[in-house]
Amino acid sequence: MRISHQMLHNQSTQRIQQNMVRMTETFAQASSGKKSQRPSDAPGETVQSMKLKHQLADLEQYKKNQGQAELFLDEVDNKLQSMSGIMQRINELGIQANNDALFKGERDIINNELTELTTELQSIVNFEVNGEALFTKDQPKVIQVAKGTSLEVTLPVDNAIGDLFTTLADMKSNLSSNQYIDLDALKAATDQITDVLAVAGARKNRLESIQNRLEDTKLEQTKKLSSIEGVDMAEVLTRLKSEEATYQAGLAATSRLYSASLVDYLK
Amino acid sequence: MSTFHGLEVGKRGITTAQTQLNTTGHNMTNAATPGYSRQSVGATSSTPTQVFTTQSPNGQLGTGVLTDSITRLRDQFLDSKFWGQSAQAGDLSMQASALGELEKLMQGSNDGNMQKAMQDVWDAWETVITNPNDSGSKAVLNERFKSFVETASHLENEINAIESRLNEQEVVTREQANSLLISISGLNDVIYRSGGKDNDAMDQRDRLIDQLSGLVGLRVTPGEKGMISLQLQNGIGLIAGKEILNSFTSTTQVDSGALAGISKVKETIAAFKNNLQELNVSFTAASNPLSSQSSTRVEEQKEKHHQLWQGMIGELGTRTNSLNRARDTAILAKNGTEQDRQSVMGVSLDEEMSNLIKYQHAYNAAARLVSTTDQLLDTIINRMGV
Repeated sequence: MRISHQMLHNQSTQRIQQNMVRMTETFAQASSGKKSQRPSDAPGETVQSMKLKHQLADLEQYKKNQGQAELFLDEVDNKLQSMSGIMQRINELGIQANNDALFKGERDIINNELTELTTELQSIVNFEVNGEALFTKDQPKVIQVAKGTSLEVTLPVDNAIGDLFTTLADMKSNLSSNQYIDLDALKAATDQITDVLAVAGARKNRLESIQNRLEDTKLEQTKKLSSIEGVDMAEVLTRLKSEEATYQAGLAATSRLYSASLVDYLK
Repeated sequence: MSTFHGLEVGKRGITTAQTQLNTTGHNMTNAATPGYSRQSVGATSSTPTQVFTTQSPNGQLGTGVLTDSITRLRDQFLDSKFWGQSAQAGDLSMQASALGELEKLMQGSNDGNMQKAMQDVWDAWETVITNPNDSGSKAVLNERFKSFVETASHLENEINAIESRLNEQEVVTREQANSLLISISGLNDVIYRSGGKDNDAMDQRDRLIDQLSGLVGLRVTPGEKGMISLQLQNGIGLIAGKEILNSFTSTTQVDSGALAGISKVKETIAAFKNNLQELNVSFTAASNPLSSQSSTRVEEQKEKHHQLWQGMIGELGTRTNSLNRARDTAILAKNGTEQDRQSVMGVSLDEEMSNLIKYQHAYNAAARLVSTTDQLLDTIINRMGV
């Protein structure tokens, strides 16, 4: 094939340009640490990494929700413990009051204490976190703690205390009218609270296992994201070196091409 | 046979050699001129004359060399191949660069402003659902919603800016094409008047057609006395002889070349903008701070809108990717054909140098012939029978 000088020139400039383009892209990879700089470099991977990023952001939000759930469940636990303690005391008072040997004055003292304790119980039952009740009358508070997983963080007031205040009111009137107090009813109310305490405890365990699971998922997805997006620095730098060598070889070859011509050899 | 036959042969040799030397010089000085095709002198021996010989029929005595023509070395087939590929490359380059701009815009920071903005709004909603009595989280939700609205409208404005730049580019390209048409038809006239022999005007015309073929796909048919007629690839006539049949207007149907690329990419961008607007409307309705939400609804709406956005980006990325590759292939093909063209029409300085030597020797020889004939005539005229 016949070669003209313009062809030599065109070819060498084009080759050098191609080398430069390759080097620029490798350099961009090395300096950004990412495999692709634009969606068009790797469209499938770009969408995958976008999905992973949004899933990771979701996990972060769920973590916040879990914190909130933990707060509520802890409060429920605390309050139930307090209520349990108070019920113990009330039980003792009941046993004391059923002793025939007491006279009216002592009965009044017991009644007063009962009144105090009842008020305290009432205030515990009405306790609110951020304006929301822990022991709910209608809808329980549900928090989304993971994808598709929601947790009830409050307890229905009936499950916790049921007829407690009616029983206590009866006890008060019995004390005032010197009648026997129904100890079995008291015991039943105390046991109810203990049962509900177990439920709250179980929920807390469930929340913990959800939290652990989430941390694991987060780790997995972060690893996956970095494997999709990130570059292996060693590989990229090696490639950059070899492309640089090719570029310099191209330059050297070009200069050899241009130097010789027939004009030099004719007298 | 005439007395001065030798002188005449010598003179013809000298003139032809001079023409050849001058043409070689022309080639050498134009070696770097873009679009120049090398010229070569076609020399043939002139008609012989009869001379008496003992054998019959009579012998034919050669009478020297004459210049036939000065031809321009150019391959028509390669030219039309180049023009077709140039249109393709122009079309794809235009599309790839516009979509590249769009994709850079959508990327923003954090792989898509839109994704982060939407995510933020949904996160704020989650906080509000979990803390219904906290006025602080409601305020955050309002702010983030506003921020999303701003992001979406900013993106739309940027897309509008790209579209209007493309429109301007279209107008400018059309004007360029029209002015090229005028120049080409003018050159057609010049070439016609020279009887189809003006090599340098033909070079210039071919160079203009090279430029025009990048803008619109062309079909070139040779006409009489070196003129050409130009048509668009879909058959619409542009130039016939010295006249311009049709100029480019906003209604001209162009199917290939940069002009076609502009209208194709405008369609793609308009479709993308449409999708963006739909997404915007749907998201704004679904996530409005004044509406009420439940966690499940937030989850499903979040999924839906994220997928829509990711789908849009995925499609744009894939499209741009394939356009980039197609464009690279087209440019490689075009360059390959250009190399082939240059192989035929390009000037090789080494070749011209050796031709120079060759013609110089021919010139010397012819001059020598003149001197010799001169001595012969001198003998006859001055020394015979004195």
